[in-house]
Amino acid sequence: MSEPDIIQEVFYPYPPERVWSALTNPSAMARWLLPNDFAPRQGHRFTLRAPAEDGWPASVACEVLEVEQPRRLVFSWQDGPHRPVTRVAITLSRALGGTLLRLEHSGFASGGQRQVSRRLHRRWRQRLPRLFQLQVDAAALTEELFVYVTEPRAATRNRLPVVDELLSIRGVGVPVELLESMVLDGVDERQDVVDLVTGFLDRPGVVSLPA
Amino acid sequence: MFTYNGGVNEQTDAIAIDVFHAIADPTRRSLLEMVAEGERPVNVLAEAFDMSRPAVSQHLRVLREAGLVTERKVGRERRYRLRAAPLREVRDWVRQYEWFWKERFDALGDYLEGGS
Repeated sequence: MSEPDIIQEVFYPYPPERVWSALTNPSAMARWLLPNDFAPRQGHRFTLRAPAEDGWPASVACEVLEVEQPRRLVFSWQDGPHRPVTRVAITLSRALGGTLLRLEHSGFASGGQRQVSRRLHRRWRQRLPRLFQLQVDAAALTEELFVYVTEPRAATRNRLPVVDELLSIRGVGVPVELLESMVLDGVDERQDVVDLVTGFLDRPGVVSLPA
Repeated sequence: MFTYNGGVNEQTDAIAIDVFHAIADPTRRSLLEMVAEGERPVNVLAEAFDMSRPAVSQHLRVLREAGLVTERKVGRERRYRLRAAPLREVRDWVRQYEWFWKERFDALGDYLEGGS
């Protein structure tokens, strides 16, 4: 198993036995996690039922993989029939004045995403200044960037006029890929995008047309 | 609770598992890194790996079916480029679970404090 995708640690000012009880008692679990038919027994399959809320999967299919009272609980977690099976490991350890709970949720393969994102990040840092030396309307470009970044769907993207214009200019590099890398770098807030674009347009030597 | 971008349906479920399967493999991750540098013809990609060209083509097919690369024929040559948008789904999914667990463990704290 590769390194966990999510690690969280929480301190509770109660002894491990008490935290364990709240963690593994089905009615307690229903209060803090989700309604369930959990039992603290290795091999037990259970379902977490989510309230019918927009976008949340109706149920999560789980199986108890390890139980070591009052220290460690591991279960599989699959939030849809076509989703990968991920793994939730919760470990309790005695700490001064209470209990440290550690969660490790793994199986998302996010290491692969981060690996590619790092490469993209490096590339657009190199190429972005060149992109903004193009003579395009800065305000329109900012707007298009924002739309692109918040709606990275191919169908929408291909109809964006400024992006089309950029693509039609030879020797630009590949703006669409640059924008995709911005998406992956987490530049997904409007102000971030505006600042980024404005920052580059303000650099000496960068040519921009009046809006 | 939290929400998925665009909601959950059969189609996005299917896309997601393809993407996860695709990026779980080290060879395919290396291929993605290479096409992240720009469009590359299949022979250039194949040369970088100590495996047969059909084996590399098979990996590229998995990536293509997951929507992570696009293929273009130029003359007799096939060229590949990155299509990074599906990777955002992976990132979003992990982030949503980060929030989810944070909320849930807060709720566990409330439950413990309530003493019930």
